[in-house]
Amino acid sequence: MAQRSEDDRAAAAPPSADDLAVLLRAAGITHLPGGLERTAEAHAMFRGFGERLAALDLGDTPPATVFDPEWR
Amino acid sequence: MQPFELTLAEAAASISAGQLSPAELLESVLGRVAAVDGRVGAFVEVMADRARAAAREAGAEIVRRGPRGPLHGVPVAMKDLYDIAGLRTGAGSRARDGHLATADSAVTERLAGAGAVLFGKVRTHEFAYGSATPGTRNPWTLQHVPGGSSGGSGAAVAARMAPVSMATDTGGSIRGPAAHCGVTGLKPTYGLVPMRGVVPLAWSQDHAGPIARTAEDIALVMNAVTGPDAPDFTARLRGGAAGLTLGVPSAFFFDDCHPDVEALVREAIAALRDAGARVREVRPPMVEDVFPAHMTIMAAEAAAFHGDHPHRPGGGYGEALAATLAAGRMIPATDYIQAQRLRTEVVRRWRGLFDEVDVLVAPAVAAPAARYGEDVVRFPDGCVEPVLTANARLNFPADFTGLPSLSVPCGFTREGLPAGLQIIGRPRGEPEVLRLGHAHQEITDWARRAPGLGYAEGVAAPAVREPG
Repeated sequence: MAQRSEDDRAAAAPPSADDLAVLLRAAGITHLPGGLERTAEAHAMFRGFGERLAALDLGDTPPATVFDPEWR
Repeated sequence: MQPFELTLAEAAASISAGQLSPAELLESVLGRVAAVDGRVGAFVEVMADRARAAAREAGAEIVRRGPRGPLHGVPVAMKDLYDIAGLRTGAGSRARDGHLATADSAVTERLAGAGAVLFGKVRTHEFAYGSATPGTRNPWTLQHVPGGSSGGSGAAVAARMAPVSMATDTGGSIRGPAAHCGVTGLKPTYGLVPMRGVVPLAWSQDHAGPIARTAEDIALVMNAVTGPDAPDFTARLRGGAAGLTLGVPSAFFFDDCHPDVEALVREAIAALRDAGARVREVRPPMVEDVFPAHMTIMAAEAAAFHGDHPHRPGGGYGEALAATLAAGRMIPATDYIQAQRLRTEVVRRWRGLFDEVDVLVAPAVAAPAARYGEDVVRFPDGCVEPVLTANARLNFPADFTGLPSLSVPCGFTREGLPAGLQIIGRPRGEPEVLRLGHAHQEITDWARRAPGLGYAEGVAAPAVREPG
């Protein structure tokens, strides 16, 4: 069965379990109730998003902030 | 017709005319919950005693001085993220065991001030981070989910267990359940309804708003839960579709859409055009980039809120949420900032859209509700998509830009599952959005349809309640 349009939403390959464990420890995470697999998938997805966002040319556009009166 | 079947506007009219007391209305609603919630599983708590006292008090005041407004004496269910002083705010998680709210949320205060009778807490996906709402079934077909994260709100209103439920929307959590349950839901302009005292998912994308049966009911609730500088949300309700220009997106919103949903939404747009609205094609700018940015912001902010709590032994978090929050904790700050920079640009460009049109109209959700217990939505062409993205991707743009967005029911797929028409407006454009929603509900009867759960008491209930 085909997978719908997920390739661009999760493009990056997951890191190895050892690499991920190192990253998690660096982030202060030593206990994962569901094990590494789900976290590895989510991590790969967010890395893919990061790569896609980094490729955008946003010039000198500043970040949005909820304190901007335009938002209220 | 039983009192529990009344819309908010109808109940308010009956109470105001002295034909129905708040106590009678509440007892009817409580009876309905007792009769059908064993099958639907929308409620996590029913505060019957507290509500009965509030209804008696409201009734006495109405007899003495008349109603404060349309919500006076009307039962309202709250998503289990809103604090009510003295009660646990469970947020759908065992991680909240032992929690007790010490103060009311701002919305709780405003509803109580309007005389509403807060009678129950309804189920949310764990910490609102998901779109299935485990434990709650879709009243139209119990084999399907109600959507999420405000699945309890959508199911309770659809099953006539509450005329109104307050919900929240960070990535479609009001409009998704409204669409999947065949009811009406509004995600207001960012910041218009205060989030104080509501458990956050992602601060910069969280919105509080109502789910009810009709656009008119939504307008009445908005008048009660917004501040004094907000407009009168009922003022333009009866303006009709004529004179409004509807923008129909030429890209993104109809891509990878279930064919039945697309057909129903296009029928709804045609009906509004026949009712006098102008229709023109528009191309929402940068919309393809919203998804990765929205997901990045949501995960990073959620991970910041939860800190290391999900990663402590015995923390009580579900496995899926703990995994997502762990990954969110590893998102680089630069990715988060880049996502917020994109947001600045998308907001600026989207506002320009409303120089050409009054509202955008599109599907609320790309597919009908997923089957209960499945992680994917199945499309007729054989494709599958994760429930989260199928339910949320068309809702992300309005959360990301902060624009108001309404979902109104627009028919049923060949499987008998409801679909929703999404109406997106300019900042603080709720009066136009609600006007169009009301116009649609004047020319169609989708909002008056009720699921056939039956009214018999004592029907054997399947085990739908699940922990968390």
